[in-house]
Amino acid sequence: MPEKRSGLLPSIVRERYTARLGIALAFAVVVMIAFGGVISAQTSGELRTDVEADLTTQSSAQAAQLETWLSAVEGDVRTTTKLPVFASGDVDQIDRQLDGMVANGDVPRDVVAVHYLDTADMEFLGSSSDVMEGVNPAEQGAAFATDPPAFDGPDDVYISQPFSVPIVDHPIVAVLSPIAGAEDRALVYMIDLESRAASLSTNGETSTVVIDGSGQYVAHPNASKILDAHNDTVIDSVTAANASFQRQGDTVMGMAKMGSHDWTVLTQMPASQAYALSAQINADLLGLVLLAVINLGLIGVTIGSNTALSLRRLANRASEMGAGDLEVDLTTQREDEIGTLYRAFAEMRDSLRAKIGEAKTAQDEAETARKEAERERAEMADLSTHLEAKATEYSAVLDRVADGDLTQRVDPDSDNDAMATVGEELNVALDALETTVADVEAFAREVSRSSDSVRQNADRVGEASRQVSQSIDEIFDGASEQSDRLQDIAAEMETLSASAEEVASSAQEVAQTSQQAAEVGETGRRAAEGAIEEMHAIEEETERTRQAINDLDSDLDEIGEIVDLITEIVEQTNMLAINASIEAAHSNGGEGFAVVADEVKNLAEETKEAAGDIEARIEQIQDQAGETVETMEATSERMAAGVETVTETVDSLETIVERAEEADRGIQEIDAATEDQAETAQQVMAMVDDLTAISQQTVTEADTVANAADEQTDSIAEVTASAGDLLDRADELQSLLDRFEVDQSARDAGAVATAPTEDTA
Amino acid sequence: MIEIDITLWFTLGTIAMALGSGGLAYGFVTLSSDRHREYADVVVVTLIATVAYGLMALGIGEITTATGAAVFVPRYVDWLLTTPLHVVFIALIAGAGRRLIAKAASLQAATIVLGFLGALFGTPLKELFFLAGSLAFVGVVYLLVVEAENDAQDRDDVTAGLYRKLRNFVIVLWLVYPVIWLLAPTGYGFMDNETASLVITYIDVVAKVGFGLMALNGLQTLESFDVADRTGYASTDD
Repeated sequence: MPEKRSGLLPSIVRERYTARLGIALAFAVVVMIAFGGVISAQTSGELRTDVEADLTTQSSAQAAQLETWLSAVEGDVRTTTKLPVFASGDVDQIDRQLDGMVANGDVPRDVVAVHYLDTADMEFLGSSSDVMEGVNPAEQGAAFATDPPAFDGPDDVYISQPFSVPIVDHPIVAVLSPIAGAEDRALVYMIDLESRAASLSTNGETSTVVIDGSGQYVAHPNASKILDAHNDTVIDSVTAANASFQRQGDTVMGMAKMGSHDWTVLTQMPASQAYALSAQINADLLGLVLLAVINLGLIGVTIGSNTALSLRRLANRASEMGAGDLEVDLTTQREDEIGTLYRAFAEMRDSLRAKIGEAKTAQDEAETARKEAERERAEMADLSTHLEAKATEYSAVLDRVADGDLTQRVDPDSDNDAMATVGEELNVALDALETTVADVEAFAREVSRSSDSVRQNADRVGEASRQVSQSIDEIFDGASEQSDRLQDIAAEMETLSASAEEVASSAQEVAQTSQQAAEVGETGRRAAEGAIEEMHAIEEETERTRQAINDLDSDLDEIGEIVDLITEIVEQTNMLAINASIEAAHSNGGEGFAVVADEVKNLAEETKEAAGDIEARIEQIQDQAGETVETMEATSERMAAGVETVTETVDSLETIVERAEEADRGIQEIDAATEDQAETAQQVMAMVDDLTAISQQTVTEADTVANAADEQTDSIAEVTASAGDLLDRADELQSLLDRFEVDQSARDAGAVATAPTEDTA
Repeated sequence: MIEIDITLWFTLGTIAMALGSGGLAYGFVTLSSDRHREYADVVVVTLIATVAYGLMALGIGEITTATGAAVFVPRYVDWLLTTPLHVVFIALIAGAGRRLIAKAASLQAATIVLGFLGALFGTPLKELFFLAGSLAFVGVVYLLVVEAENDAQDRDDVTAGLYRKLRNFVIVLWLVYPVIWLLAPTGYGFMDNETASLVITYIDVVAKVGFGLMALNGLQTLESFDVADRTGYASTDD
């Protein structure tokens, strides 16, 4: 917000803390300097005034002092001139008087000599100083002599201009006064100006000079300066009434004019000296100001600069934070308010970072979700394409499978799990189908082989039966013949009773015939035993066939289970197909997948139908096998009956043989004992009758056996026909299965699966 | 009773400088050894000043100039040695190059030499030397404020802050020296030697010990921030 703010301060100052602080400190410095100046001016003015007053007072005082002293000198001169000794004119006495005055100090200070002057000749007639006696001051150039004053009266006192004379080594002011009572005589007081000046002047640096009206120094701290001309004229303005102050160069002076004399007293001192205190105060003030400036500068560059730098750094950090960099370093070692500010900012930064982190996470999540969605869409498209391709591939494989090539497998390697699962399940189903078909084929072959075996066995049984039948026929024939022979025996026996001779021969014949009958009986017995063996063999064969058929039945049950499994797999596949259809419906553009799913479903249904078909056929086979078993059991029973009958026949035949032997022995006995022949003939007749009855029974039995054997033969034929029928069915099944091409391994697996059946067959 | 005169100020100056040297020398303990070399700079400064003040307190090295003012040679020798050291330290903190450092230190030495000459001679040579010295000092200020600033802007802002603080400190304090010089008897004598010496002693102690303390504090801060690049000539790519 570029809000224009018009302040008193220029923007460059408003905008910068350091500038503000600098201005404030500069203002403080200016105030200090100004106040220092004021103090300096005040104290300097005051001190100057003091110095002025001091110097003028001093000059006035000095002037007054000088005035007093001069007055004293004048008074002394005046008084002294009134002494009678001077009026006497006695030079010696005057000289002594003068010597005594000076020596005793009866003259004012600084009066170094007193002379007794002859004003007419200008000669010192007498003097306190012997060397001066006879000296002509005019010749010496004494001011009072060269320009002699005119005295108005004896009280008149003349103070000469300062002068120096060769005879005296110091400048002199002469004070003259005429001597009362003596003509042209005067007393001359010689004042040593050097001494006077020395007494006047200096306390400390203050020096006092006296300048006479003509502008030459009367007194000066520097004795050599006395009588030199004072090169300034400002003293003209000075009046006796008011002392004045003046500064000349490095010197300041107070000036006071003497009232009685045209002398000006200057109390002077070097300005530096006079104003030393002021200068010291000013210097100290300057020092103070400088120290203040230094300290303010220090504050400025330490506290101010630190604060400004810290704030600027913080501002930069805040700007960086504003610009989005939340990793800014906000650590500080300061523990004051600025440190607190840093920490507050650091907290703000952390808080911001946390908030922005959250926002960013959310954004990232949204972005990830969006990307995920896009990726999924792309994946869906890919998947759809992939599914279509896969479906086409599956479809092709399934077509080939439908054409009977069960070795075909789909490639389940797919990015889509469902499709991969479908493919895998399909492969599992195909594996199962192939194995099953192979099993069924193997089983069909096995059934075929078993049926063949059954048929062969049945044939063998049939053959045996026929042999049995034949044997029985032979038995029957034998028995009939036996019966006939027995009737013959009876006839013969009847003939026997008629003729003993005949009996003997007949007995021989009978014995032979009986021998033959025994042999025939033996043959019959052996045939019967063979029949029994054969029948046992048949029975065993039949039992084995029955067991084979029972095994077949259990195998068929297994097949039924396998078919049930297939049906189950097919139902699962069907379910998968339905799921796949639903999946396809969910994924947009999964029409291909749907097609595959339908295809799979159809195939599953077809497979299910085929399985049902197989199951029906297996049931038929089972029924057939059951019938066969029943038939075989019946056959077996009849066989057993036959065996029993034949056994009985054998027993009968054995009995016949025994009896025939007994008959033989009897005939032998008959032959031996014709005596007993009649009785014996009777007994033989009875025996022959029994024999005949037994023979009749044997014939009947043999007939029954023959009938049973015939029935058995019929049954065997029936078994053979059933086995042939079974073989035909098995062949039919095999040809039905030959449509399916299965892998050798599956074939082997099928063979192994049916192996136990082979073992029991 | 202690007499309040120039010797007192020099004695106090000696004591202050000696205490400052001791205190600053203790600073070595708080700094890691790789900062000792640069930190030695500021300790050497106070040691030199201690010697100079000791000599002046003993009244050694005082000469009278053409204008009758008293000039203390040890003071100028002190300044001649110490002020370039300060300039070097600041320039090092700023990460300035050797050329800039050499130039600034030479100009600073020239400033002192010219000031000394100015103090020796009377008008107009005095003003001439003063002007020349002022120009040399302006050069130093320019180098420190403008050129070294460019280097300092490449530094991390803690180092740059220390550089600015020390620079401002030195420039503000050193700007007072010519004023004192002019006011003192070396210039126009508005201040007597005693007062001037008092002020100079104070500003010397502040400028040297104060500078040393700020430098120590600054270096400690740099260490606490663990500023990676040292104040050497190397890497200014920060």
